[in-house]
Amino acid sequence: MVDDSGQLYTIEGIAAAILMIFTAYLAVNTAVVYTPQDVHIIDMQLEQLGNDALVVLDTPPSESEKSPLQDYIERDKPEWFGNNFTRLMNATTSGNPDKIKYTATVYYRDIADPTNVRTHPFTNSTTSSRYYRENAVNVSRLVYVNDNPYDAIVDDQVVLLEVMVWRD
Amino acid sequence: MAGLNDDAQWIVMLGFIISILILFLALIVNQSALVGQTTAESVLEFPKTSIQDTRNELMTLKDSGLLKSSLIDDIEFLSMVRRGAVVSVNTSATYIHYNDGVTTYNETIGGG
Amino acid sequence: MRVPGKIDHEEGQLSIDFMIGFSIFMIGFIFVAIMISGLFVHLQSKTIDYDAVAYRTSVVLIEDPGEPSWEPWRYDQPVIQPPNWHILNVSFPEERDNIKRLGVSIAKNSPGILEYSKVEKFFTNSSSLGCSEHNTFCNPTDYREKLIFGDYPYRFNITLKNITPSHSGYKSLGPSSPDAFGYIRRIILIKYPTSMTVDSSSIYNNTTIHLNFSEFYSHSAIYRIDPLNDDITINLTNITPEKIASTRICQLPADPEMGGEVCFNPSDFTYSPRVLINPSGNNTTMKIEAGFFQQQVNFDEFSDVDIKFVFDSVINASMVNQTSYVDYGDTAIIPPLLPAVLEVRIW
Repeated sequence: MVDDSGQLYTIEGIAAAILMIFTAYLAVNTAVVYTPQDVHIIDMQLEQLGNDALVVLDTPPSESEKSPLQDYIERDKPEWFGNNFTRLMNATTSGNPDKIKYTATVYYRDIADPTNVRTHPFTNSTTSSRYYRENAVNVSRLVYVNDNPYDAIVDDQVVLLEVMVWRD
Repeated sequence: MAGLNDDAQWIVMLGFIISILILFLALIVNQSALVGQTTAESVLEFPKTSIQDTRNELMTLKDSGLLKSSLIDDIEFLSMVRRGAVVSVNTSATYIHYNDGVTTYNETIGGG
Repeated sequence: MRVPGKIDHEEGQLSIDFMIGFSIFMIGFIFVAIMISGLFVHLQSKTIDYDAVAYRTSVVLIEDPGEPSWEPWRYDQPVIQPPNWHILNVSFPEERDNIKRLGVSIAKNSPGILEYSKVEKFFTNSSSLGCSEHNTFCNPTDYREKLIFGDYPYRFNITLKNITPSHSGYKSLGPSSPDAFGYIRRIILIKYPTSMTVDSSSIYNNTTIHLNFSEFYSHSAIYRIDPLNDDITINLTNITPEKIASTRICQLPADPEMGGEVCFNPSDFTYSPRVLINPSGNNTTMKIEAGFFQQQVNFDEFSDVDIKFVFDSVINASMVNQTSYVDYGDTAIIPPLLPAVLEVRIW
């Protein structure tokens, strides 16, 4: 005898199935497109690149020569540093240059008061830029200078050049 | 009410139970993701370039004969004040100690 | 009309108990559904993994001298067995297996400063089936095993280009990348091989070019003349190869009383690494390939080497049978370190 006494079971079964499938779909498919870790990857890439550029600038190209960075600091030429640093940072193998900007500062120990650190800005008005809340990283390099141009008291010192880099 | 047929309610009940289990599992996965560190963060945290820089500076100064105690003091001071790392070097630069609070590095140069 | 005793399926009524329970359930369900939107935030996707692999690949490539690597003897270091990996002939399977890591930096203490001979050997690759029988690396298996590591078969593209325009030297490895890939860019310095030029007017018919290996290896690794790892090039201007009567490469004994020098004829060595003597215009270029001194004639970092040329008497008729003496260390041009950019893409 065919009647509709099984409708209850069918409807309840369909309802349960729809509920489970919907739950599973919701749990699996809610994906967030922007993951916060992307920021750290970009920071890591920028930091490694900045440090590489400073190493290249701080290595003398031939034996018994001064490194270019030592020369720039001793002669107080932030524009030379800016040109070379941005050239290195923005070079790519495909030829389309990157858009990385920077600001730089030199930190050195105050000989008059050895527990104090003094700063000297090393930015250049044409190549370095104002910083407006981009994601930036700090890279730094210890540089030996034979004639600190900012402090006439001491002959030679190790100074720290700190550069803040960001991508425009 | 007593006459209502509740024979098939067990099906829906199972459906509810399974949904609850799925959501519970998703909750566990959500909580577990908060533990641990991404690779990029670990790379940023490890002071590879600072250690390489300190070593390179000391070895270059030593090889060119320019090393003196005031330069070692400069390096130790700047590392502490700007990089937040304790650097300790002996006078002939044969032993380097670096500690930035998370990573410690010790090196003895020479002597095989 | 209701018939008592017969089950009625068409009433469509739910009990109050059921409604209350179901409502409570629905409220809880909606609450959880809202929480799910923050569910998969921290799970890794393949893009993040590729960036980490690209970074690690770049570090192994440019900050590591590779394995096996060799450095000359120093009093404060244990002895390291030669040779460097870029000198090994990988057409032999044992040599290929001996190479554990491909790294192109000059030495352990100079990360980011690359040796050009290692870079050249690194980019020598072939993707055809018979690659393991030649002295080239198999793309991609060798690179996956010795540089990228890991179980997943990553695909990669590595490019290198000089920043100075005069020396562009673009090198590339691997297919071009799709739109999404893990990426890292590094800036490096490259040390190029040394060379020297001698003109016929300043030498006699017998000419000896002297290379004092122990003097070379007393210099710092990033600036030294490196005959065991790099090419050595000698340009003879205004002399064509036909005017060279004979060439010999001799090793002087450490102790003069132990006996005479041991000499070799470069043309005896027919397989790589060899000594190539080629004309270039009116001149001759003699190139001693990297690895020749170590693999073929077994010199080491203490050898004292003379390269002896005998020219036809046409060179300098008034000075026949006189010997001129040129020191490679004094006349060689050591090129400056040049910056380059390296990009690694992984997908």
